[in-house]
Amino acid sequence: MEIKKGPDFKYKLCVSGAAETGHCGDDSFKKAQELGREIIRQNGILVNGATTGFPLHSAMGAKDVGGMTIGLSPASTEREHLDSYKLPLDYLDVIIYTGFGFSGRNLLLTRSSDAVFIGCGRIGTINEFTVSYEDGKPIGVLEGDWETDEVIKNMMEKSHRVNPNVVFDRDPKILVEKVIALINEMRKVSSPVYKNTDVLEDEDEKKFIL
Amino acid sequence: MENKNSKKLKLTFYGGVGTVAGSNFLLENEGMRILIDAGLEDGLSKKEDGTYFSYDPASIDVLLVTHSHLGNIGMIPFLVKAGFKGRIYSTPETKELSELIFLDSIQAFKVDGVSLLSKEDIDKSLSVWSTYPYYTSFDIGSGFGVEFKNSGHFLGSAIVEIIFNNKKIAFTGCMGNSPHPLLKNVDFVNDIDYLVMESVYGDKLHESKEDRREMLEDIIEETVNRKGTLIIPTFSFERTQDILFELHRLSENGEIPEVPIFIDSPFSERIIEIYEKGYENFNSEAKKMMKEKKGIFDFPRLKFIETDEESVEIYGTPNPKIIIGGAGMSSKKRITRHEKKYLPDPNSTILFVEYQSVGSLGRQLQEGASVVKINGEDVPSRVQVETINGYSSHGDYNSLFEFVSETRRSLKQVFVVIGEPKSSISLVQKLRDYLGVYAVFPKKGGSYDLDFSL
Repeated sequence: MEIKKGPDFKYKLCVSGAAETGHCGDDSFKKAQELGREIIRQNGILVNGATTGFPLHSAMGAKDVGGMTIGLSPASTEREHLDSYKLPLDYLDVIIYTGFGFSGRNLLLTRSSDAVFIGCGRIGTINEFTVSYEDGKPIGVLEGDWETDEVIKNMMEKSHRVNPNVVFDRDPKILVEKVIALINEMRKVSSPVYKNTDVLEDEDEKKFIL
Repeated sequence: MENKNSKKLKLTFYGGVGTVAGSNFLLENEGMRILIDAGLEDGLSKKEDGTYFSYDPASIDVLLVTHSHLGNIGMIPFLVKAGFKGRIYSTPETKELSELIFLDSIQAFKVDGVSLLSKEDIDKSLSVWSTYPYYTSFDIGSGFGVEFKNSGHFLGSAIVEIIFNNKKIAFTGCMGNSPHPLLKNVDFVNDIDYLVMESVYGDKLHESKEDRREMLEDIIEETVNRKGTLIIPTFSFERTQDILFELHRLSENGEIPEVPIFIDSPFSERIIEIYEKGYENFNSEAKKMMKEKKGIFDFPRLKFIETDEESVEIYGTPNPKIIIGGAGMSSKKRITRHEKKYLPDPNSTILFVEYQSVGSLGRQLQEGASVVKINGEDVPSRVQVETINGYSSHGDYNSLFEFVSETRRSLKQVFVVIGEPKSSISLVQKLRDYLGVYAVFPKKGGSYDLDFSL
């Protein structure tokens, strides 16, 4: 067994999908939940748009296995969230009220995440896909009895773009594994804080000798 | 000694899926077979092998009845005739009203002049029928306990809760449209593991209580001004009571003009007797009215029509007038006669206060038919057609949703039945998306494994 020392590093993994799953097919409920569970099992925190449907089902799965969930709301206050946007509070540990409406929230949501998972969905979900894509985020597209994954493949083909940061799979467990591998790869390029050698230049401020 | 029977139960949906009637569910494990409701769907129909049932009636241990509508009890005498030797359980009012409904149906269950049902069949069914009031748990053997809760739909209507190994499955039967003028509100529960629920108005909202009363007032006034007849057909017995109660209130406050009102329904007086006897289950406002004045269902200008001859005599009373009627299968002839007479009259109004099933005469009229077939004859329809859903005895989307929401933390699965496919599927999706509850629209005839282990 691996002995872990020090604080755990958790991946911030966003789940994006339809608020109304009527068009998603019968198994979207269970697949969304399994995605939520795998995110937690593989050392992640689930982040979503604090909405109904697919993202809610993923948050349920995450809570099922004792994970942490964060929702970003388009509303400015809880009241606006409940009464105007008619969104739920369930299964979320923290809700951040962005007040930026849907498109603003989508931007903040994808930016706050290390990677984004795209489930079954329509225009709003495609918005989140394109925002993450533009920001160069690793994206995991869950394939299932819906058409969203095909729509995405189609868009990429037609734009003649091959993006190695966009991965596909039917199995939530494998998809999460693939995406985490992408995150780790991308992180290798960046430096942790102690590699900032600028501070070595400043000799005068050292007062830590006993 | 520990009960060897598995903690897994099997639930099969033999009827009541994708339709409003024909409720028939079988819950079983190796040691026990429990039937919940044995309802008539669209008329008696035999299967290919000549029997009425997809299971052996003699193998059923217990039948639990949610409430006394034909769509839930219509097949009971046939079940008994076909060999059922178990016990039947319901609330006391359900049993009393069921007896009336069986008697009312004998005439209707005739094929080529031969009665398919006899009084003996009905008596036999009643002889194995025991009753328990709401909130009284009782054992039915093999580790199963039952409790009836108030579903607020009809006098005595119950949510049937079955407890096994400390876990609960609840069958809502039909759920009420609370607050109801007479009955107490639906009992909310919060500890249900499996729920089998109705969805008649799963995708619709009713008018508010104020709006529905205003609509009724307006319709009455308009018909009176045109000097027409207002017919309010009611198939279910309790609709007559509810409308009567409302008319009484409107009439007392002088909110509707003084016109003769006929209740053309032979069992009405008996039903009203049962209602007046069972008023302990009314809400506090109705109870007060009952105590203050005798005859909550009786007021001047109201005439009960018992015989067929009297029913025809109604036409002798000049317009404007109101006819409420047709409840029960034995009244079909009468309401058909009224419809034939008044459908061609543009000054008259036909007002629907109940759910009209697909293909029924009422549904055709609601959808704008200008000619309808009654007993093979083409009848032109120039009558004013009105609908008030707010008097329905079924809860709307909001009521159904709130009911599930109360128990969402404990729910493992919800089966959405007793409704047209569109209403059921719509509710399934909303329950999944807004509550995160695993709702399912089951297959007719399909079986599902339920886990009752701790």
